[in-house]
Amino acid sequence: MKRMKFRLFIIPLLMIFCTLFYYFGELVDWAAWDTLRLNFFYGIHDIHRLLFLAPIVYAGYTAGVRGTIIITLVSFVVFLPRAFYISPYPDPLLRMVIFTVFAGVIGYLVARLRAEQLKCRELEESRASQKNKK
Amino acid sequence: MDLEWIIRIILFSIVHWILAGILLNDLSSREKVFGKHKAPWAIVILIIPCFGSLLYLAFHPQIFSPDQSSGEYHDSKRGK
Repeated sequence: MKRMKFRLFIIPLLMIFCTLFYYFGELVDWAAWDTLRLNFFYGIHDIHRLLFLAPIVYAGYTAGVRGTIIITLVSFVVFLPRAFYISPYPDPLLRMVIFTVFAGVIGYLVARLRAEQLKCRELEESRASQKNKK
Repeated sequence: MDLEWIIRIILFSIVHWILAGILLNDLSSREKVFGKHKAPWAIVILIIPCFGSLLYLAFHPQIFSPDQSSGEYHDSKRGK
């Protein structure tokens, strides 16, 4: 039961971790943690955005299509402030939208694949139980 | 108004309304909600764009729990 409850928070925790990583440069600036000021956190954020694939794919695997859509949209909301106000690089909104669409499609396909896998497993089990009855 | 701002507002509203739709659907089908009353949650989701939805998700992580069609739920039910 405890394990089940913990599982509920895996996706929110992953999202929080990814968001902190995504805005770590701004966090360092705000808190003046000069020792943590690395160039990696101040470059173009396409690589940092890839980290959001983890919660999206995980949501597809565990929470189905609805979970994937929710997590993809939440990721999109997380990306928006950087695209609107922070990024000095060209076309931040376009790059963000392209990533979100692709990540959403990947999550959706994972969710569909998982659903098919479960359906197959259920059919196999019902077939085996029928055989045992005979 | 600048074209870029119009695109931003349209994108933001699309995300808001999709999230609101999904979460209101979840809210209506849920028996128990945090705080016991559904109406305030519906207002929060609708009135505060995106952040209201995030707030609802933060207080109701069960939305991500494996439902009846998910494997982990079945596995735990079967005792695997």
